Amino acid sequence: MAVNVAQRNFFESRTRMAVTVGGVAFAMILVLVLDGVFAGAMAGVTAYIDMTPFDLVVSQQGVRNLHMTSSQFPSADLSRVERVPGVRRVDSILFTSAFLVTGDKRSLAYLIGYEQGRLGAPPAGADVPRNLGHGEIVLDKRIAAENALALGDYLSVLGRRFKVAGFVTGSVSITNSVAYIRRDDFAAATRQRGIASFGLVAVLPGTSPATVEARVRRAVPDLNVLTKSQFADSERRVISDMSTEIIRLMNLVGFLIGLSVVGLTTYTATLAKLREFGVLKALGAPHARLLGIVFQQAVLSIALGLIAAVAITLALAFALTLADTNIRIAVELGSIGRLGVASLIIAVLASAAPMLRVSLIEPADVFRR
Amino acid sequence: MQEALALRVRGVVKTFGEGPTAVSAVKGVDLDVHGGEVVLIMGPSGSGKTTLLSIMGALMKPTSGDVWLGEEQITALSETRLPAIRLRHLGFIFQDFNLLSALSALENVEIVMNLAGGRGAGTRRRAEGLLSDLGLGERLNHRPADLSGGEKQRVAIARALANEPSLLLCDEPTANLDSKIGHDTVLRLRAIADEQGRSVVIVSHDDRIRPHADRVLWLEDGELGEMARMEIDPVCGMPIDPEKAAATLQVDDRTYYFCSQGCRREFEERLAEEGRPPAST
Repeated sequence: MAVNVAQRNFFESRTRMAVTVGGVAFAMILVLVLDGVFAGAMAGVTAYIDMTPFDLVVSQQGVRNLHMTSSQFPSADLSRVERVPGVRRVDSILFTSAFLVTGDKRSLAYLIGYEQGRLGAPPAGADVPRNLGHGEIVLDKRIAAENALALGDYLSVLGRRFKVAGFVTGSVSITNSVAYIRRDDFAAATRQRGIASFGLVAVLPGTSPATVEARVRRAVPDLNVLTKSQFADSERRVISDMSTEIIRLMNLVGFLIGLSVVGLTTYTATLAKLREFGVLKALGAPHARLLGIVFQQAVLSIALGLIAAVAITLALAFALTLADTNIRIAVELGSIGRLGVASLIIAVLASAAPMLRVSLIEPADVFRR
Repeated sequence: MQEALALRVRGVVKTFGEGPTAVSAVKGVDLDVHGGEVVLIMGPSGSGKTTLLSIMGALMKPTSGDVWLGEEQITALSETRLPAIRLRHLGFIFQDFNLLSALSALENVEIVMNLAGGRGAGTRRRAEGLLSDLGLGERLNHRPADLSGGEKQRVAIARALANEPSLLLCDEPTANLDSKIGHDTVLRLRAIADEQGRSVVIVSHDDRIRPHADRVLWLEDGELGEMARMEIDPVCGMPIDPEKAAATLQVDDRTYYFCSQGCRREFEERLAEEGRPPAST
C-alpha cells in the first residue's frame, strides 16, 4: 500500500470536507428527488393499462394512447377481430377524460365505461362491487379521500350525478386517476350508440400477442392495433415528452450547482496545498502523479456526495411513503447511474483548472520563503 | 585518498531576463564536491545562493555551463528525466521543513519511497528505521503540526535520506531552529557525511556551521570564492574578498578591509578614540 496523499488531504480539514460533500449532495439530491418524483408519478400513468388484463388493444386509426385522445369506431368492427385466429375474446370499453366534480372541487380522471364481467372492468377487490348499478361509480380511494367522498356519496361526471359505490387503489398519476361507470351509463351520457373507444383483446393461451397483433392488423387495416406493452410505452412517452423540458432544466441546474461546488472546493483545496504540490514536484513526483492527486480529490468529493445524496433521497422517499401523501419518490437505478456518469464528468471538469494551476508550479519555487 | 566526485559544476551562469533588464544571478561558477564532503556556501542575501542550489538540485536549468551528478550530466537531460534524478540521487532539506501537513511523520518519509517505487511493509519498516535512528521512534504517527521545529527538521532529514541519495542539498537548515537544535542538526548532517559517505552542500548565513564544514565558500554577486581567502570587515563582520574591498586601511603592520567607506570611517573614529591613528590608507 502506498500513502494516499489525496485521501489524506481530503480528510485533513473536516469542515472543508463537510462543506464539499454537503454542497455536492445538495445538488445531487435536487436531481435525484426531481427524477424520483417524476418516476413516481410516471409509475401511475399506465395504471389502467397495467391493472387491466388484456393482450392487445384496438383503437381508431392514428390513436396510440389514452392521454388527451379520443377514439371512436363502430363496435361491429370488433366482430372481425373476434374471428382472427388466436383471439380468445374481445371486449370493448368507452373512454374519455372527464372531471369528477364534488362541490367546487374538480379532479381529472380517465373515465372508463365497461361491461360487467368483461375485459376493461375494475380489478376485483374488497372495495369493488361485483355488480355496479346504474348511476354508480368506482373511483380511486385517494381521490375520494381528497374530496371527502365516502360510499353512498354523490359526485357529478359527464353532467350527471353518480353515487360512489366502490374504490380502486393505485391509479393516481401525475395527470389524473381512473374512474369506472357502466358502459350503458357512459353511452347514455355521451349519446354514443354502437360505438366503441377501444377494443381489448385476450389471446389464446400459448399464443404470441405479437403474432396475433400482426394478424389483426391484416384483418382490420382500418383500425389501429397495439400490444399491451406498446400501448403502455406510448402512454408513458406522451406524458414524459410533455415534462421532459422542465426535468432537463432542473437536471441542468443540479449539474451546474454540483460542478460549481466541486470546482470551487477542489480549486481552493488545491490552492491551499499549492506549496506542498511544489514540494512534491521538487522532490521528484512525476507530473501525472500530482494531477492524479487533484483528480482523486475531486472524485472523492463527488463519490461521497453521491452516496450521501442517494441515502438522503431514499430516506425522504421512505418518509413520504409513511406519510401517505400524493407525492411518491421512486429512486431508480437508471437515475443513479445517469447521475454517476454526470458526476464523473463534473469531476473531470472541476479538476481542469486546479490541474492547470499545479502544472504551472516551478519546482525551484520550493526554496522561496 | 580523496573520495570520487559527487558533484561537478563547470562555468555555470544563470541570467534572468533579457537585454538591459537582464540580471545575472550566478556568474561562471566552478565547484567540485567529493563524496563524504560537507561544503558550506555562505554569502549575503541576493548573492545567488538559492539560484545555485536550484541548479545543483536539477530544479532549474542554467543559462550556460554544465552540472554533473556523479557521472550523469544533468544539464544535458530533458525536463522529463529530471524528476527521477531528483527522486533517486538528491535529498533536499529546507529552511521551512516543507513537510506535507496532512501526512504523519512516517508517511512524509514513506511517500518519497513510494514515489521511487517502494511499496508495502518493507518500505514502511525502512521509513520507521530512518525516523527511529533520528530519535523519532515515538513520534511516527504525529502530524507536522504536532511536532517541534527540531523534530520537523529531523523528519525532513529522514525524508531526504529516504531513497539513499548521494548528495544532500540543504537550504538554511538551521535558520528556524534554536541554537541547540540547530547545532544538533549540523552534527547530524556531519555524521551523515562521515558515516554514510554522502556529500552535503549547505547554503546558510549561520556562522556556527563553519567549524563543521570541510570547505567554506563565499558567494557574492554570483561569484564563488574560497572563504579562506576572505578578510573580515572589522566593523560589520562581513567577509570581504581583498581584491574587491570598497576600502582598506593600514594600521601598524596590518591591512584592514571594509565593505564600504562608512565602515572604514567608523573604524577610524574608533581608532581615534583609542589614540591610534592609522599609519596610511
